[in-house]
Amino acid sequence: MSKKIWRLAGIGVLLAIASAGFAYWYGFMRKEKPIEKMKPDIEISADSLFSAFSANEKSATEKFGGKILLLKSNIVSVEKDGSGNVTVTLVDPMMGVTCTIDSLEAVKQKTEIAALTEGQPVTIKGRCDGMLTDVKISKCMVVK
Amino acid sequence: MNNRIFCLILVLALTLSVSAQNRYFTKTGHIDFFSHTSVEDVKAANDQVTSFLDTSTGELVFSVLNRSFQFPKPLMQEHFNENYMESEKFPKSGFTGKIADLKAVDFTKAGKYPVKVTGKLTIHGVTKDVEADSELTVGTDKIDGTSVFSVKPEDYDIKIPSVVKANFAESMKITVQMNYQLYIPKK
Repeated sequence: MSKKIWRLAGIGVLLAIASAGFAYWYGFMRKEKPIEKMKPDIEISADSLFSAFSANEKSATEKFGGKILLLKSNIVSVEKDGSGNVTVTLVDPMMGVTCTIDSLEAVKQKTEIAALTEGQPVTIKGRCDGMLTDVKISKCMVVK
Repeated sequence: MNNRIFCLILVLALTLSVSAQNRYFTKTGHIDFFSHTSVEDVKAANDQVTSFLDTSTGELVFSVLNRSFQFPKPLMQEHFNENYMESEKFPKSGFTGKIADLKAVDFTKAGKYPVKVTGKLTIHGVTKDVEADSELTVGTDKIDGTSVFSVKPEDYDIKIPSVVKANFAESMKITVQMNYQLYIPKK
């Protein structure tokens, strides 16, 4: 009987240590999943995405907000800022879709970004954050 | 108030092509916030800020999507969007205001100009009057704007649970860096 109690107590302690370890990892050590490992939730053209937001921003935000999108479109412009972030604009310079490749991803994708040409087709994966004057896509990467 | 800011942004954007010489804009402005306590540092940055500046009137508008703030820790980002900012209910934050001492700036002459910006800041659905010392750096067809000011989360009805209250400073330091470009309409 006492052996059984000791065994149960041991299992309890191990579970408590494992739970504390998981909580520590989840809270403090967990890294964001890299965009290249995220599966797209929705595949859509940038024109259709912008049209959906223009027609009804609220319902489009509910449908696309926070989702990982695979976007296809022709490139309007490619710009790099002082921090190394790269902005790829699709559809229209002012009221279109703005995709931001952060500086870390931009270093990893140096070759792919160098090949981006205005007017050429591109496929970009990223997270839809919503709409201001343009639809904002963050955490982006060039797929092809 | 939120709708007023975004209507104003849309109006400014639509009128850019009509009187473009005085209108500057950016879609990649930077805003970050920082809080330091002995428990931890809390910081996040947003590099997708949309802003317009009308140099003839001094009118300034900023708009950000709360979801675009990037945190070093994913759990912080989840708490920020789900618990504190309630980003599904209040997806945007914004500012609408003016350069108070516009005459102090010569937009035809390159250089650095200290200015005071006043206006209304909307966060978490709450709008408050704010005033901040800023600096404009005038260049050829571009203007850089910087400002640092503080915001108290409680002023904007952002509730921080008592169990994590020690993790946050009473005020957040907000840093704004804008890289305005002269809007040249497509021909």
